[in-house]
Amino acid sequence: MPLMRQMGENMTQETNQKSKALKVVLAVAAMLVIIAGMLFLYSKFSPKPVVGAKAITVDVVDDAGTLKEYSLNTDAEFLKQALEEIEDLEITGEDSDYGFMVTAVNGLQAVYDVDGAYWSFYVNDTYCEYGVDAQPVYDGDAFKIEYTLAE
Amino acid sequence: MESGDSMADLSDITAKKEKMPVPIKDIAQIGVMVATIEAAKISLLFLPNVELVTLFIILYTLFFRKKTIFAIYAFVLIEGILYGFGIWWIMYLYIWPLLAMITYLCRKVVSLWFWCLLSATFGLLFGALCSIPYLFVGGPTMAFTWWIAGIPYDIIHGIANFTLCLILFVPLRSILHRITGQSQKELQL
Repeated sequence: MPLMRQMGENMTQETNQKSKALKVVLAVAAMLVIIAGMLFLYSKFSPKPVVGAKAITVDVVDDAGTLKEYSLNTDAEFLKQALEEIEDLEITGEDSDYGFMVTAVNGLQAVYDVDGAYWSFYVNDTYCEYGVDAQPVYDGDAFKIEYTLAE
Repeated sequence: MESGDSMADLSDITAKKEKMPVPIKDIAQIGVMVATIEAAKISLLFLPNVELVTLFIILYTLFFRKKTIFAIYAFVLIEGILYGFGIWWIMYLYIWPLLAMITYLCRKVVSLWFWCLLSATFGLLFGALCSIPYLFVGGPTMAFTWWIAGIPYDIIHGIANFTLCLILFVPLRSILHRITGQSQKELQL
């Protein structure tokens, strides 16, 4: 009988220990669930920095009248920087006394003295009053760059 | 004559002692508690959201019970004097006493894991609890936004609290046990 009692006590102790271990595991698991929940809430509701607060479009019309459209979200202050941010758009030019002069767009050259043509810049269907590096960029602006033959 | 004066002084002191609303021993204990909590706070200031105040308040509540509340408010007052009485100070007025209250209610628990998990939970919910004043300042949206923005820090706080409690709870408890001579139940893992 004492042996049986001893065995019974041992079994009770073992069960108690298992129960305690289970409680600890459950508590730690609950803690991890709380952390996961908090991370989820953070990823869902935390303030996100606005990358490129201004949305603009740029249409390029080449010498054959073909239109290529680009859109961009940018923080650029001036058009030159915005155009440089467009991956598929290649702008070539040179600095002059009057600012940056665009000589080629996507490899298509338009130099007045050589080709009798130039690249015209429009903003919201109005001819740009400033050079490409001085033309301000506002949210919602629609730019057009057009191959134009000299008259 | 001198002997008579001494006797009179002694009886004065005894009379004063009897009249003291708070025993000198308690005042001394509270003073030491405040000093150690403040020192613990300042010593880890260079690590954001890693602090020993939680652990100290838990341990002090376990040993010194209701006296800890005086130490907490003295600590909060010192913090206000040192860093200014901003909105965070209002948070401190209820957040640390809340921890002491929870600890007091669970004072019979002898599991080390329990205290580690309480510390961790307190750290994780610190931001949520602290956002309560913003409910009155800017409404639920402001409180929610404020809490969300601080979640990464709360997670660091929770993990740090858990780790510090796991490492320091047993040695600090045994030091307090030796100092106070109080017998506490054996901790269980």
